[in-house]
Parts: sequence; C-alpha cells; structure tokens
Amino acid sequence: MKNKGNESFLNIGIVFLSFLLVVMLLYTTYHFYQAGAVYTESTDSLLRYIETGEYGELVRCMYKNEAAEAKITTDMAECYAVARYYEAASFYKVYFQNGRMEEAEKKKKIMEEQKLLMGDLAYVEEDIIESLGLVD
Amino acid sequence: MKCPSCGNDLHIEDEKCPYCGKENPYYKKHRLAMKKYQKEFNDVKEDVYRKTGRLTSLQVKALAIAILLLLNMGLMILGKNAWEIHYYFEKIYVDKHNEEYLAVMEQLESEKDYFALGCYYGTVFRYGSYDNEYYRICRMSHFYSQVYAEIMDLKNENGWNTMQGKIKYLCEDIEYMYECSVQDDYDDPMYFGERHRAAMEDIKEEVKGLLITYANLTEEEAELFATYSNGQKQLVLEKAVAGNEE
Repeated sequence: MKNKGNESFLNIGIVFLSFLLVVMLLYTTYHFYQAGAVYTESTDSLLRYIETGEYGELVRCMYKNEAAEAKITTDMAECYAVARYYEAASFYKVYFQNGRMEEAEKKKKIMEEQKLLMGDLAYVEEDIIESLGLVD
Repeated sequence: MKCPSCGNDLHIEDEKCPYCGKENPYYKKHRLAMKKYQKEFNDVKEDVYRKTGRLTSLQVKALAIAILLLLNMGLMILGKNAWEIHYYFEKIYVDKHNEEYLAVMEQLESEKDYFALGCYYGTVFRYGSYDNEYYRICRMSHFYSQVYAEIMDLKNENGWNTMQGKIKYLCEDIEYMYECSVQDDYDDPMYFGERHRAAMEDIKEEVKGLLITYANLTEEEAELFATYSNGQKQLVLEKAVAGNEE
C-alpha cells in the first residue's frame, strides 16, 4: 500500500515534470529566436510612412531593411523607389542651392531612375516635390 | 465450497457467509497463507532484480524524475542565457568573416553611402562594437541618418511629435553625432585615420547643407552650430523654423 502510494506520487511528478519540460522547451526556443531575430520594417509600415509624409523615416527604414536583407516584395520595391527618389530629391535641392552642380546632376539622374520604379506609388512624386519645395 | 452452518455456496475470500452471516472458518487461514505467499513472492522478485541488475518500477520512476528535473533546469539556464550564448556564437561567426565585413564597409565609406554604412554596422555588429576602425564613423553615420530624418520631419505636420519635441531630439542627436568625431586622448587612433576623418568632415558638411536648406539656418549659424550648447542649438532652430513659418 505504501509502495502504491509512493508510485502514485511519482506518477504525478513525472506527468508534471513532462508538462514543464514542454513549457521550458518553448521558453528556450522563444528566447533563442528573439536573440537571433533581426528586426525589419514591413511593407505596411513603409506605406504608413508614405501616407503620413514621414519620408525621412522611410529612407532610414529602407536602409535598415537592406542591411538586414529583408525579403523584397513588389510593393516593398516600390516603397524603396519612393525612398530613394525622396533621398535624391532632398540632396538635389541642397547641392543645387550650394552650387554643387555636378553632385546635383547625379541626384537628378537618380530621381529620374527611381521615378520609373515607383509603380502604383507614382502619385507620391508630386507630394514629394511640393514638400521639399522643389521647382523645376 | 459449502458453508458449514447453512450448507450454501461459500467463496474462500468471503469473511462471512452471504446467506446466514456466520463467520467463514477458512477465511483467516486463507488470508495468512496468501500474505505468506505474497511476501515470498516479493522476496524472490527483489532477489531476482538484485542478481540480474534490473531496476524496480519505483527505481525507474525515481530515475525518470531526476532526469526530467535535470532537463528542466538545463533548459531554464539555456533560456535565461540565450542572448549571451547567441552573442558568443555570433561573435565567432563575425570574427571569421571579418575581412568580408570590413571590405563592405570600406566600399560604402568610399561611395559616401553613410546611411547604408551606419545601418550595415548596426546590423552586423548588433550586440556590441566588435571594436574595429569603423566604430566611430559608423556610429556617426547612424546618428547622421537620424538627424536627416528629423530635419526632414520638421515641416511635416502629420508627425507624431510637437515642434518643440522634434527640435529637442534633433539637437540631442546632432550633439551625439558631433561627439563621434571628437578625438580624446584615450581614444584609439585607428578610429581617426585619414579616410575616416575625411568621411566625418563630409557628414558634417552634409548636415550643414541640410540645416541651411530645410531648417532655414543662415550660413553662419550652420557653421557655428556644432559649437553651440544644446540649449543654444534649440533656441537657434526654434527661431529659424518660426521665422520661416511667418
């Protein structure tokens, strides 16, 4: 009887510890996953920055995603084109106003290249020109 | 068997006759014999287990519990130290591919792709500096990209922050950016080689240009901006931005 009591207690212990083992496995896997994860911005995030006119942040996010080798979808590629267009346009104005014409021309060329890659986001070009105060 | 009192059927395990209720005279003897046989059986069983080296069911379960306890503790320790363990192995990987990474950073620096340089350094050397000659220029590039985004956001009415808040963060980040280019006595000279110095000056020029073009600072203000205190920086910017809005 005493032995049977001991065995029941051990059975409960085994069941409990087995359940705990599963929990610990999940806990450890989660922490290792977190440690190895590289944060990237989603396409929705990038589109939100475009919507709110936070183009500077869009440019930063593009570079972060590229460094992290984020998977590029068609929509994301168009967001990147907007970012590169904006970056080039912003520096084009700086160089133009400073008389650095050679560098300004390089940025102008990038603007023209990226304009063709914007796809469905091509409408944003006008907004960028207006927000930067760029005049042709 | 039959009950000696009433003659009805009686089982040897019955303590009393189910018909007449009289005590079964064979029950006690049978119980004593069964106990004796059970004890002999257990003794022989233990003897067999001992001689053959087999474990009893109790011993196996106790062992299973000990193993499960150890596994749980091991996993808990691994989980708690996941970041340190990952960092350790990542550092080994980075050290192995160090030449490759340095080549990429050299190319980005020579192409004046400072935003990419800062982000690349931040991604590859995520948990620490893995101290190399690019540490300072990459840190400066990182702040430069923040300063760029903050300057460009000054005119954005949809931004999440107030104008004062934006200016405050911008000035702080500009200060951090400039600090990266300051060489103190205790700094390792490898950070300030000719190429890196030129890149740092380049970044400062770019920021000057951005402040003039988009924050409406004058040439003089932009030139002296690095020398201002944080408070002065904020005042100058607030005045310049307000002046433009009028």
